[in-house]
Formats: sequence, structure tokens, C-alpha cells
Amino acid sequence: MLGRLFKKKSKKVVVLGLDGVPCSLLNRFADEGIMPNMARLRQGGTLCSMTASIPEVSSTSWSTFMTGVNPGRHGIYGFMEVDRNNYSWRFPNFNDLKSRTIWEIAGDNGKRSIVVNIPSTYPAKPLNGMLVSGFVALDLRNASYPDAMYRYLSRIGYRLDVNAGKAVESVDEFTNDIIRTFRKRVEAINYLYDSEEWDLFIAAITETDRLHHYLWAALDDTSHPQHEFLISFYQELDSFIGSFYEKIDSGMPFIMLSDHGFTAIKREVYLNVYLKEKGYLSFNKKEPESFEALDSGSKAFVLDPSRVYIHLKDKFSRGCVDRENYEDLRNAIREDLLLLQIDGERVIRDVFFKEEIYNGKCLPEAPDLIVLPTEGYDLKGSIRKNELIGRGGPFTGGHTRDNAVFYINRPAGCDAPDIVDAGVTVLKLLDIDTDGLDGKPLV
Amino acid sequence: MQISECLTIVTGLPRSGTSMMMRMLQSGGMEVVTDNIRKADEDNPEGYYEFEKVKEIKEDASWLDGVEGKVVKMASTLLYDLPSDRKYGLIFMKRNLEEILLSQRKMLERKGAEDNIDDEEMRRLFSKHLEEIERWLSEQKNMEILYMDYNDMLRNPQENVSILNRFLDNRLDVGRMIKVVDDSLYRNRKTDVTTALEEEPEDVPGSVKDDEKIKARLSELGYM
Repeated sequence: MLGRLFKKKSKKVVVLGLDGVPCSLLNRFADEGIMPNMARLRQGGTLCSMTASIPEVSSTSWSTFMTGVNPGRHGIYGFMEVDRNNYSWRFPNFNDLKSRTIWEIAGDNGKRSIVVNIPSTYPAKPLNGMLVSGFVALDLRNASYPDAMYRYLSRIGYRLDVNAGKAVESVDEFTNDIIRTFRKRVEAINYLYDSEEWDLFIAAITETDRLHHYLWAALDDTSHPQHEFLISFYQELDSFIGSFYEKIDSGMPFIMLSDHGFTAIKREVYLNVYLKEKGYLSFNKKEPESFEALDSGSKAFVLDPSRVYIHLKDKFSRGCVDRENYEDLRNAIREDLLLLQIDGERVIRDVFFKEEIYNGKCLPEAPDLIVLPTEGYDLKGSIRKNELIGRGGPFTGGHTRDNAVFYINRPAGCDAPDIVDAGVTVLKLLDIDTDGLDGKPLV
Repeated sequence: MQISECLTIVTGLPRSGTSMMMRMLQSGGMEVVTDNIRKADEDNPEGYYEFEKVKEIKEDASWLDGVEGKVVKMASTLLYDLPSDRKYGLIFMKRNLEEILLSQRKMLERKGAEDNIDDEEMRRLFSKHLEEIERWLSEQKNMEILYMDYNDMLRNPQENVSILNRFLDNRLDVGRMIKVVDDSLYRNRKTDVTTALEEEPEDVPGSVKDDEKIKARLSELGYM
């Protein structure tokens, strides 16, 4: 009995993901009184702007967080790939992740984890703990581990995701769906937090990202029909953050993070159209559905959102670019991309060669060039477009690499944190050795 | 609450597998509340398991006295009328909506009946109802709910029956319930080419069907 009294408490960490929430928005809502709990948390901790992965998409960014290594090691560069033999679409899932997750590493150290709704964790894989997958999870059974998780979620009518397609048909249905899905998510998070044993608790709210994609324009336009909804959603999110934080034992590390920032879309820019205009790309069909219609003479193509692949002979079955021409071609494409302007404004902020930003065993599969847009230009890899520029259709918000969130309820260094550092920080706080990972602990 | 101590209700849209679920529960050992007024036919050869009084639940709920521990079938549209001072265990059957529509259409054709609502309108109404009722159910404190997927039940009877039995406090004969599913499966294979069994299973991550769904989901967020 006495031994229990003196037993050293094992380290625990709580992480709350806020998909697609910009740091500046949290600061603003905290200042304006819309998120009073956030203001309180900010006062007692450190809130700083974090850099997301390149490309700044959820699959790559969350995979970087959950592994603590760069995409050159974990191998997730985006939501889709092209099969090198038959050019059909391929969609990498959790089984394609090439590095161990922080909850697997924690499990090796005897720690039990609860993981809720982290994107790119579908299908669920066994772990020391429980997991329900996030986007793009299709089926609750395959998204749940173990069976008890499925049973519980099924019983409460848990919703894997918002039906974002509704936003086009009926905004009211979309906003109702956001609220309903968010509340179910919160119900599951609270229940699992209270009723399960855990050392590492990680949950993500993804309704924020869906909201921003479709209703970002409602943020500053007080006459927008959904302005009130957006504000009230953030108030409800803040209430949840506040009540959730109340549960956390004093002194226990609490981290919040987002996988990228958000901004208003000025224009969508279809990079494959640009490559077509510059003579790098052609299709053997007017309206291609996939890269199966890629013309053999094509030298390069783009996958969402901004990944340029050189159509190498030794990499693709119908490739036409010799290895000796690779560097010249990459340089030429980089120069052309950097010249792209709309209304006198540069569209492209930077173009990286893969070895400049990635390293590791998955480097050969990496895109050859990765494009970073000027804020407000939403780069797209669509192959169905014929115009270079679009208005964004129903989407009014787009991702930014800058301005993601990193928060911790204690003093921390805010020296240009990167999302790769966040997962490493979690392990460090669990007293787990982080040698060999790419990130640096932020505490 | 102990589910076995309150009334269990099998619910869902018409043609969503509620009769099969009733048959399973009866075979598993539960006492069913039915009046057998509606007789078995080609569309439900094993019977409908209906109880006429549930349709008038709003006016007369006296039959709820003394049915604790039993199971009754009720259309999901009637759930709103259940007295809120009692506790219920709900088994909500879900099924691919296209299959439901097709199955209903076939039933109407067989009966020679005409329906003046087209499939598209029906699809819209059903979807709307499902959303509303699920939202409402999530707010009811006096109901324990288990959502069961008919298509998945046919594909993975063992696992689903096990979940079902746990929901009902592990008091049923699992083997006999699985046999009911197997028999339904056999009948479906013989008579109903529209069942999801003819299609590629939905729950194999990485399947072609999954890829199509992922494409659709990504498109909703501006990718592809």
C-alpha cells in the first residue's frame, strides 16, 4: 500500500489536433473574446505559429507529426499517387506509412495510447491502446481498433466525417452536419478520455478544416449568411477546449496543434494546364479521367496539390525523359513555374527540388519538384481543367504552409517550430528517447 | 441500464432488414411481440413480425406495460412517439439506400401497386429522415442504440452477431442467430440479384470500390 503512495507517477501527455486551424485565427478569437478559454490557455502557456509539411496537405502533415520524421522517410507525399506501370490512381493509406508512429514507439515503451480521428490512419492497425481512424476513413469497422472501439462508436452513432458534398447542395445541411459530427466526436473523445486507461491521448477535430474550405469567406464578412454560424462554431469549439482542459490533471502536458494554416483563396491555379501550355504535358484524350491517358511524350505532370513528377524512362513504364536530361528539365520547369504571374503578382513563392527538403529511404518516390504558392493561390493538380485559373468554385478557403498552430501549456521555445518537431516533443514529454527522429523537441 | 430489462425495439427504414433481425432475435431466444396479422409472402417469406398496435403508439401506449425483456418491430418514423419516461434498447438497421429503394420497387411491382413518388424523391426523403432521426436519437437519454448494417451482417455474420449479443447482455444463442443470417444469405443468392453480396465487398481497404469512394471524398475537398 505504502509502495503505491510513493510510486513515481508515469508521464502522460494529451494532444488535441485542430485540423486546418491557423494560429492567427486562434490569437484573433482569443483577443476578441470569441474564444475565452483559448485566451486563458494562451496566458498560461505558449502559443506559436508552426510550419507545416511540404506539400501543406493533411495526409503529409499529419504523417509527419505522427512519425516525427520527414516525408522522405515516412513516404506520404499526398493523398494520391500514380501507378508507375499502368498510370491508374493509387491512394496511399496507413499501411503505406513507412515509419513508426509515436503511439507505436510509445507502445514499445509500455505506454498505452488512445488515438481518435487523426487523418491518414485508415485502416486502423493494432496498437497498445485504441484507435479510430480519421480522413479518409470509409468504413467504421475498418477504422476501429480493437473491436470494443467499433462497438462503442457504433452504439453512439459516431460519425467518421462530415459529408462535405452537402455544402454544394445545401449549406444548412452542411452546417448541421458539421455540428452533429463535431458533437459526436466530442462525445467519443470525452468518453474515451474518462473511461480508458492511457498514457498518450491524441484526438483531432477535423470539422474545422471542412468549415474553412467552404465557408472561409464567412469569417470577415459579417453580412455573410453563415458568419454567425462560423463564430458560434468556434465558440462551441472553445467551450469544448475549456471543459476538456478542465479534466486534465494539473501539470500534465497538453499540446494543441494544427496540420496547416488557412487563407482566403484569390485564385485556383491548375498547374497541369500550365505544363500543357509550356509544352511539358499532353494527353491523348480531351477530357482525361486519369493519367492512363497521359501521352507518352509528356515530360512532366503534377499531382495535387503541387507535386511535379518528371516522366522518367527508368521510373515510369511509358516514361520518355532520360536520366541525363533530368537536371536540365527540372531547372527549366522551376524557372517556368517561378515566372507564373496573375495580374502582375507572382503565383509561386518557391520551388524546391526534392533533395532540398526531403531525405530518407523514400526519397526516390518523392515528387521531383515541390511548389510552394504565394498566399492566396490555391495550386491544383486537376487534369480535367482547360483554363489555367479558376475562381475556386464552392471553395473559399485554401491551405497555407505557414501559420499552423503549436500550443503547449508551459513555457516552450517558439524558434520556428515545424510540425516534424511536434511528434518528437510528445515522445520527449513521455520520457522516451527521440534519437534518430528528424524533429527537435520544443520543450 | 441492462438492456435485457427493457423493451428492445428493432427499427429502421422499410426493407432494411428489420424482419431478418426479428427472426434472428427470436431464434436466439428472445420473445417477440407480434400479432401475426400481416402474413408471410414472397417479399418476406419468413413473416413480417409486425404488431399493429405500434402504429398507434401515440394514442395508446398501454401495451408497453409488461413487454420488458421482449422485442418488437417499429418503423423508425414512429420512434418519436415513444413515451420518454421508459427506457428502450434500440437496434437500428441500416442498409444501402439503393438496395432499399430497389427492394421496395420490386415489392410494389409484385403487388401491382403504383407509387407516385419517384426514386429520386424517395431517396431524398429517406436520407432526410435518417439524418433527422439519428440526430434526434443521439439526444435521447432513455435509449441505448446499436446501429447494425444489413449488408455487413450478411458479409460478417459471426462478428455482427457477437456484437449484437453483447449489446443484449450476452443472453442469446449466437449459433442459431448466425444460422438465420446464413439462411437469408442463401435465399438472397437464389432470388435477389440486387443484394450487395453480388458486388465487391465494401470493407476491403484498397479495393477498387474503396478507391472510387476516396476519389469522391477527395473531390469534395477540392482535390482530384
